[in-house]
Amino acid sequence: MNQALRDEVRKLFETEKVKSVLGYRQHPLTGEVTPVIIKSADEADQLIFDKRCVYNLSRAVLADMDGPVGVVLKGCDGRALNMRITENDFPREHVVGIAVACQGVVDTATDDLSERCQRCHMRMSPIADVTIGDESAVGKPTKTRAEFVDEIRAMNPKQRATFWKDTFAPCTHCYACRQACPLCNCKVCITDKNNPQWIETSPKPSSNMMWHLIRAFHHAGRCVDCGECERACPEGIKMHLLDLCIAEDVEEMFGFVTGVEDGAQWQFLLYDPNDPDSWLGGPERG
Amino acid sequence: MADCKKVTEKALLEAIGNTGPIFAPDSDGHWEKFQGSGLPRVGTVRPKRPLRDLFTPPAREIARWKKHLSQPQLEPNLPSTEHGIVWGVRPCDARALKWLDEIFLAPPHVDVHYKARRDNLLLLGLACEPNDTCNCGLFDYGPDDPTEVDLMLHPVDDGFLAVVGSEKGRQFLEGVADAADESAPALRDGPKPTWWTGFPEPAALMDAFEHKVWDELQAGCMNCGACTLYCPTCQCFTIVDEAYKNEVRRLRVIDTCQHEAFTRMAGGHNPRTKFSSRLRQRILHKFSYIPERYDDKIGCTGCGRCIELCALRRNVFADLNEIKRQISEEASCGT
Repeated sequence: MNQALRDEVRKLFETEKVKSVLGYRQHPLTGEVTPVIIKSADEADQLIFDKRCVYNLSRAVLADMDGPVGVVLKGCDGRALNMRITENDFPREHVVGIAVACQGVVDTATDDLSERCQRCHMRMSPIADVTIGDESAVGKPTKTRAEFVDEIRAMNPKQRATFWKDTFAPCTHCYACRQACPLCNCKVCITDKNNPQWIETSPKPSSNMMWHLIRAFHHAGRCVDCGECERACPEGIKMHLLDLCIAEDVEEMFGFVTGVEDGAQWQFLLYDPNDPDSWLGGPERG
Repeated sequence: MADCKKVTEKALLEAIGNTGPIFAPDSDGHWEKFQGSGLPRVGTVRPKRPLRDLFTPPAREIARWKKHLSQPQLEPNLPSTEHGIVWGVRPCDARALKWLDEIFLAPPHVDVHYKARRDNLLLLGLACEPNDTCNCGLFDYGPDDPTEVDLMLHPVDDGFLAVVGSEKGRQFLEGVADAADESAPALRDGPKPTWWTGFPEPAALMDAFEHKVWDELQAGCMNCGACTLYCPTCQCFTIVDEAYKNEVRRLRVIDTCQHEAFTRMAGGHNPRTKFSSRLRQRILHKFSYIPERYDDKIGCTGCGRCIELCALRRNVFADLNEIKRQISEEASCGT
């Protein structure tokens, strides 16, 4: 896998299809797997891909980079990149997708297959200008998203309110979840707007709830289940569960799964006369 | 009086009880007033949150006033006069306080809250078992260094060996019953990376302000800010007003240079819009600006929280090595 990846990247540089490549390397000093940006074919030999490559590199693509930028993509990364292109963060030509056959990545704390990968139904990136590895060997999910969401759905509204309040209680408003998210791409985040101050700066139940609800609603129909928000949280808050609940609703109501096709449309920009919501003229939802 | 005494847990508890409540890290690594009985059980290494939380908390009220009054009456938040004991202090956190003193105790703008806490809390250190993210060895001290705490405690079979770190600590130890003189345990060396080549010169770092290395390092940083918000020596804050039903509270809230809004000015201009410029700020502030301005102090104690909490497994010392290598390579090419 590593050799094939390096050969392909070298080829991309040599045929001038890319000016830089975002990938993973094992840090020569610390031995940790970290993201790296390389600018020439000579540097391709440091690239790797294995189960330790947990980060979502689509987060690191910037519009002002020297393009086209090659990006090593897992399934979730590719879906996120797809959404960013749909939302005009940068044009499709700005990126060259290097899709790697991902067999799931590990939870760095336990070294087991991470939760998100256990339920991942799309391990190949939809954006695949180049494909590395054996697509047929990526394996199937062993769990469904519903298994994670059902527990919340079974609660009554009061129980849910308590559950989320407790879940968000350790929040310190550091906004690492926002920074880690490839789709938190607002020009100015609502937390940074202070006239009026929509979300108060100090941690307390009201402002914690305000932030986490807004964060989740902004990701309705957009979250690709890469789980980076949860992984980045220094307090270990399981805020991604809320995104999952909404993703489950969006799929159930609108049959929409985020970012699965290259060039997919954004659900919220579509009009469909068969929309299940009655106020759009569709049939009443049962 | 010897600099080291053996004390029993019971006698130590009694002496603590005479001083005041205990502050210690809870099971989540947050510094809280200890509510249980006996001595708090803390982990073997520094807790998640830095010790500065007790001295300059992440959010602290400055003052409050009632709304809808023609002449609002300001009710300032006065410093706490409570005396107490801080339990489980690690040398890295204690050294960080020593640095924060430069900021918060420097006249003419002395932070009265910070000063009250510094004066009223006794730091009881606990010898540490460093993990693989700890780097105290880089700063020439070790996991049981007593110099910046009041007392450094080494757990032994039926109590503690207490090594005196300050005059305050010595006085406290005199109040502990049945303390017997002992010879002090040998100081251990702190861990440091095998590949470490030394700190870059502060002035050379400053000269590298426009270097391409910052852009190269940027791919490994998403500016989440965990490194700075959990750093024991970082102290930047912002001031906000929060409205409640009948009153307004003015708070001093922790802030981080890693976020874009940190440098955004009224009117919208932002001198640090690039990821790499914010990453550079963190490294230059700690390893160049502070040593240049504060007589060779360094804004880092090697506690390693930034390494442990980084979602991208970044290591600031590896970055420093890389920067140093690139600077020196260019210097040798240039001559």
